[in-house]
Amino acid sequence: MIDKSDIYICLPAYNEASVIGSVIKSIHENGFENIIVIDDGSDDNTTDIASTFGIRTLKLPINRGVGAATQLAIEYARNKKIQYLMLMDADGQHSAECLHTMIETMRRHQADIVIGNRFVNEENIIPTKRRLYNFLANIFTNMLVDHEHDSQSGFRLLNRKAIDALNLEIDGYGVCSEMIWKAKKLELNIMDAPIKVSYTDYSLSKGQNFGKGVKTALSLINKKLKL
Amino acid sequence: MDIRIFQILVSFIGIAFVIWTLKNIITQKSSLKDSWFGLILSLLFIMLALFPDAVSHHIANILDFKSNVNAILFLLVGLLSAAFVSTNIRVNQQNRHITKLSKEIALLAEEIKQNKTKV
Repeated sequence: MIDKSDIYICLPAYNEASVIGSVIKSIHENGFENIIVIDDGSDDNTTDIASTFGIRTLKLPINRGVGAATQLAIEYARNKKIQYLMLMDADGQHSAECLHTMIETMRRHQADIVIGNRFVNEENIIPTKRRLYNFLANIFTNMLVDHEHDSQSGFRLLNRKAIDALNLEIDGYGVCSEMIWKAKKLELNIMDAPIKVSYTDYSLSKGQNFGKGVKTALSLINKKLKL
Repeated sequence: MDIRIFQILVSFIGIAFVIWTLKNIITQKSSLKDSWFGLILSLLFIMLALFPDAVSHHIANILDFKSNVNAILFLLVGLLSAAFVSTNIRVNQQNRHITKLSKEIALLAEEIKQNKTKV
């Protein structure tokens, strides 16, 4: 049994002042109280808005990328001996209702990491461009490590074993693939769970694009070669 | 022997750069470790500008190139590639340090905030 009070939901956020409030509200509405916002050096008042909800905020002094924010979340969880860490995008694309699905998947399969899979739920309307980026990123990730699912999903649940074992190093979007590749190396049990996503013009302006994709691929090659 | 304008210009700029770099090393504004590549490249340019045929033929002979122009191009491409790789490695190392520091600052700031709340 996984107790809700043992789960900390972590939102890596960069300039998300316009949506962070509604994301926090939807998480609260689903019965989760432990929320941490990792502000990745935002120029706007993301941290101030998050603080008005009485939740914990950690702010990187300068923008270092979603990977650095994820590393910080994991380090914080390790230091505070947090049992379960849920990573969720702060741009509002992930549905907070799926938190239950993620937890249930972890419980049922005794998984160490659960990754939200956007491509199972047929109701999800995923723009072609985004599908293409993910398809290419999946191919690339599979070249490094055998993982046929949604390798670029930011919706992830980690248990204590994964929190303690994972030592991530990539600052940018490459962290998604790095986590899978390192988890496989550490023989952690990875499962995927179907999630609902809703893309808006806003959330589409935030995620991966071709330039970031190339950068991600290079950072992964770099890390794999240990340059 | 005819002295052409580029020979004067390149050697003058090269010598000025060497003096400026050495001055920076002496006044500890930069280190020899950071400046050696620029110094070697400047000296090479000065030598090439002052004695273009002798130096380029010598380099071609050492590298076993038929054409001295190809030898110079190969040498410069090699030197620049080495500089690019070494710069890239250093930038990556610095990036890792910056991220590590940023994370430590964020964790420390949070700890201070929590301690203040407790007090």
